[in-house]
Amino acid sequence: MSDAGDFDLEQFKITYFEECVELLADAETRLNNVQQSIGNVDVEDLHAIFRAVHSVKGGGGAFNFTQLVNFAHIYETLLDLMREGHVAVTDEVVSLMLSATDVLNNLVNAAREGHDLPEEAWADIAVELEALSGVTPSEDGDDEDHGGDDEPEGDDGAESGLKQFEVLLKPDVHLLQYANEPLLLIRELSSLGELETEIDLSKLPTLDKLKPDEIYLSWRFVLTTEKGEADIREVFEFVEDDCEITVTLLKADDVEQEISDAPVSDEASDESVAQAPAAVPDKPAGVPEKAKPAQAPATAAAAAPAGGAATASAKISSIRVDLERVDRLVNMVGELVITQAMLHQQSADLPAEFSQIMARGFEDLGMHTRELQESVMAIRMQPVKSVFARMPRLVREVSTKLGKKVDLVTSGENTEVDKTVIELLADPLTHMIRNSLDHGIETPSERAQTDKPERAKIHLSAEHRSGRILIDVADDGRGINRDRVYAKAVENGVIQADTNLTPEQIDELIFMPGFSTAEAVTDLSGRGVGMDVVRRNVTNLGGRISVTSQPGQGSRFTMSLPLTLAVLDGMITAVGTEKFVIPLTSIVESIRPTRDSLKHLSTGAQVVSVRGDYIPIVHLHRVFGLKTDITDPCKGLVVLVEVEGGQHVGIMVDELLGQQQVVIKSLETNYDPVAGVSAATILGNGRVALILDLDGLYSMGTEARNLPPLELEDASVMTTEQV
Amino acid sequence: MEEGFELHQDGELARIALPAVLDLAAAEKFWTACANAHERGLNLDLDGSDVERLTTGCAQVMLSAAKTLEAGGMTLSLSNPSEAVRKGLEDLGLAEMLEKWSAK
Repeated sequence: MSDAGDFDLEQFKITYFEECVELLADAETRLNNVQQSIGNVDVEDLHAIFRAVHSVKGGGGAFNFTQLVNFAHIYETLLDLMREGHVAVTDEVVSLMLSATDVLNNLVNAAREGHDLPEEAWADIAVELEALSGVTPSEDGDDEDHGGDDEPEGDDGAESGLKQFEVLLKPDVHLLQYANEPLLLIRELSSLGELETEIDLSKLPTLDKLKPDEIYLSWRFVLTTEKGEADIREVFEFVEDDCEITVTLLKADDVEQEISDAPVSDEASDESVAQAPAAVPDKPAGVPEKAKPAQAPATAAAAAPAGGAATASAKISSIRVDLERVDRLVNMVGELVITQAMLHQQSADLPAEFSQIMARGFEDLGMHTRELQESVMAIRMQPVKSVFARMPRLVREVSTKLGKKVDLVTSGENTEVDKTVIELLADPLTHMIRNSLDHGIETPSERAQTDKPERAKIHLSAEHRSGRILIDVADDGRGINRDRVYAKAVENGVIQADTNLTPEQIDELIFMPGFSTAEAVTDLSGRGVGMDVVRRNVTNLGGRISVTSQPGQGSRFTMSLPLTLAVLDGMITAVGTEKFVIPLTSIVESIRPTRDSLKHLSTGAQVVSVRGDYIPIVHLHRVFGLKTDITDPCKGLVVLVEVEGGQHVGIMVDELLGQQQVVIKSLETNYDPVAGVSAATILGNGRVALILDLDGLYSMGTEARNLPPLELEDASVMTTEQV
Repeated sequence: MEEGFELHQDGELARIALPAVLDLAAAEKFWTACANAHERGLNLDLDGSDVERLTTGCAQVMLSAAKTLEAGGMTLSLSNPSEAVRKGLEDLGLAEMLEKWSAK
């Protein structure tokens, strides 16, 4: 094969492995659903798991990943029997499915790394799967064997009797470009029975109009088979988005239903499948009902109106793009925003007759740039599903280890957030859930004593609020033991023994550095990584984390994160000749304090009284050593902002210059970390402005003794220690 | 001329020996070779004896070439079709075409 061909194959491989990750994550989520609803399993979950495994197998076959394909086939056989209702869904079976999914994951990883797994890594599970499927290992690979050893005769009655189907296959013109090969589909279809093939050449152009990588052919097949419509649709499973596929029952042995002249319709299709459940024999307990027509694989394609041009174009609804390309695009759009802002600002210096002419153009340019930026940012937005999907397993494993019974309920999985945020979300989320499982949820016997249901519940949810994403982890456990937390905080020297704290303040103590109430360090949440680290990580992302708790009722951790780490809506402020950006979402209000409302502490800190609360003031000119004429808060402005734990701090600036969306440039990457500064940006005049790290400033404000003294007009009230 | 699709002219007949793999990557080269024969106004004979794998893309080029040549009063023929070519064309529903092209 040519170099280009090798390259293509590598690209396909990369795409395949990416898809495997998504498919297996989805299978995992579905497995969790199945596990939670044993006895009342939604057959669509079984279909979805089957489709995922089948797709992994199909792609693996194209790259000759024999070990992977063989195992997936064995697993798929069991799944097929389960969804057909021949194998009951029990705890043991689900447990085996979980192990099988693990093995499949490992096999995919091994294939990605270009090696096989040792036999012991998968053979035992394969034998168990085969035993459950009623297939002896020597029979491995027999796709037709759906009958278990213990099945009554005629169990596959749903599929028995010869039927005749008309199958119309009309590929989308781009089908070949997605490495799909109609010939293979036809051959797979012919393996189901006796196949008559008619090819339609009416759309075939002459050579001058032919594009070799496009397809102009379509087919009509008549298949005489014992199989059902679901089996036929399964053949086209990989291409259902790239083809119009219509399956119509022409004739069945038991139902003389000649509809060969009837137009292709959904009704006909539904009818064909609707016969199937009637023939299903007595099922073992826990077996789900057979798939309804609407739930059968590939029905979406069948439901599409045949021959609609709009349908064909709608089917190519997504493409895969290298993340690096998107990042480059985001970066370039960021630069464009900066350039646009610079030009806009510079045009103001032009003579009036020119600046007026240009103003309108800049208005349009500004609007389009903003729209462009929003569109580009939207490309990187992804549902949090990919992170949420990892949690069921965590809950399962940890709860089993702890001997607790826990159900994880998720909602808002489709809430979208920037990919960079998603990647950084997994760790804090994992820790929050581990924490709930380890400290929050009681053992079944403890729950029995308090009249709680045996199975505890953790609710993981996501939603958009005020331009941020809120992620909640709520459990119905014992809640925070405040007496124990308080005692531990005193013991660890976090607080003084006689400190008066509100219940909420006590709850906040769990975020203090080094704080842990675990009697012994477990390998779970007490791994030496405390909630303080979680808070720091979340804060570093520009987020906040808080906890609320009801003793005996449970706890709720709430994490709020920016939707993106690439841009920020900020308030531009001035201190002397410097500009600073305050994240807009943190600003509560801005005030000019009266002389009476200002108080000075012996630590050197200055506070302002706002509606009865004393709020520390951070003087930016002191923090950053700037020269300014305005050093008195009564002459400047104090911007009140909210920091972690719901605390407030006042940032003293000379004036507010206006709101602006700024492109975030990392200081760590381009320079060095600076205390009190989270990042930088480039303003319209081309100058760098610092984006304030409000939590950092809060800490600095409350420890003002390390800062230069205030030069107050009323200096007599100050007591400071100069460093 | 594209590698693997060398066109050998013999009077009014152009002969192309098809390579072992007729996949999508080969379809573009195949198309170029067929278009070349058509431009020269030659009948085209494809030698399929070495073909081990035929895909729909290349079968489609073959069909389009036959249609184009016939429209211009020329012909396409298929010599020594291997089992892969026979089976491929038959499975695609092109048994009649196979018979027609092979008969020449």
